[in-house]
Amino acid sequence: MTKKSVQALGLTAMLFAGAALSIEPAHAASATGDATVKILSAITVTKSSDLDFGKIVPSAAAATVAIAEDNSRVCGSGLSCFGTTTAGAFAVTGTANETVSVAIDNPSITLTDGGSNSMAVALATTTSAMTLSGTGAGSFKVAGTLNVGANQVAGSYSGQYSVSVSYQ
Amino acid sequence: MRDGSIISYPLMRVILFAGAMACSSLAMVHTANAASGGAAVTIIRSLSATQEESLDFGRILPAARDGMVTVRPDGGTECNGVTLCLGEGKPALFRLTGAEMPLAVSIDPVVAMTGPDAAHVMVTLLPSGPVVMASPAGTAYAVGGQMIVAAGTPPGIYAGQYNISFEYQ
Repeated sequence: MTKKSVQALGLTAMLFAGAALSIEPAHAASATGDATVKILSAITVTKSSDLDFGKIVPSAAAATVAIAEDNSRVCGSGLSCFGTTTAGAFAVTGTANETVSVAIDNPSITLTDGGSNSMAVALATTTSAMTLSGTGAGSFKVAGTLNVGANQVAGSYSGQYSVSVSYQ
Repeated sequence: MRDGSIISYPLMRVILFAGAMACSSLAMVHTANAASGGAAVTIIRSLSATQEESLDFGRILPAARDGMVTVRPDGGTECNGVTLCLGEGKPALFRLTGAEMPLAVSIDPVVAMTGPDAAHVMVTLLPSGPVVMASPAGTAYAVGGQMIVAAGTPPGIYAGQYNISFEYQ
C-alpha cells in the first residue's frame, strides 16, 4: 500500500468519525413542554367616602345639584347650596397589574327621608376600567346629580347604591 | 548448485503450472455456484419535535372550595368550582417533522407547577393520543391538562415543565 493510499484511508476514517459525532438519533425526538397558570387574588372593594350633596335650601321650582368626581358642586338655579360635598369614592385591591372593569350596578337611586318623601339621584363614573398598580391597588370615584323637587320637604335623605369590580 | 538449479527449475515450472490450474479450477467452481444476494435499506427522515405553544390555563380566581380547570387538547376549556376562568386557556402544541410514519408518544403523566413561596399546583396531562403521524411538513400534536385548584391557593404565577418524546414505530 502506498503512502498516498494510507493517507486517503486516514482521511476517510476521520470523515466518518466526524459524521458520527454530528448525527443525532433520528428515530426519536424529545421535547420539554411548559405549563403555566396565573392564580388571581380576590378583588376587594371598600368605600372610601359617601357621595354627599351637602346642605340644600330648596326653592319653589325643581332644580338639580351635581357633585363631580373632584368633589366640586354645581348648584341648580334657585337653590342655595352650602356645606361640604364629596363624591363617592372606592378603594380596590386585587392582583397586581391586572385590568379590572368598574360598573355602577344601580345608576339611578332614590334618597328618602325615612318617610314618604324622596329625591332621585343619577350616578356616574368616568372609570369604566383600570389597571391595578404594582401592589394591586386602585381607586375610582362616583359623581351624582340630585333632583331636588319644588319645595322639597326638609329632612335628611339617604340611599344606597352598589358598584362592581371584575377582572377583565 | 548450478546443476541442481538446472534440474530443479523445470520442476518449479511444473509446480507453478499445477498451482495455476488449481486456482483456475477453483475459480470455475466458484463461478458455477454463484448466487446473488440482496441488500436493502430504508432511509428515514430525521424526526424533530418542537414546542410551538405552551400549555396555558389562563388566569384563575379560586373559590372557597376546591375546583378543577380542564384544558382539552382540542382547545376546549372547562371550569368547575372556581370563581373565574379568564384569559382563555390553551393546550400545548408540538410540531413533529419527519417521515410520514406513526410515532409512539410517551409523556410525563403529571406535572407540578410551582408558584410563590414554593406553593404548587398539580396538573394531569391530557395528550391527544398514544400515536400520531409525523409528516415532512410538520404535524401538530396537542397536549391539554387538568388542574385541581385548591381553595386558598396563593395568588401568583405558577409554572412547570414536563417531558414528552416521540418515536418511530
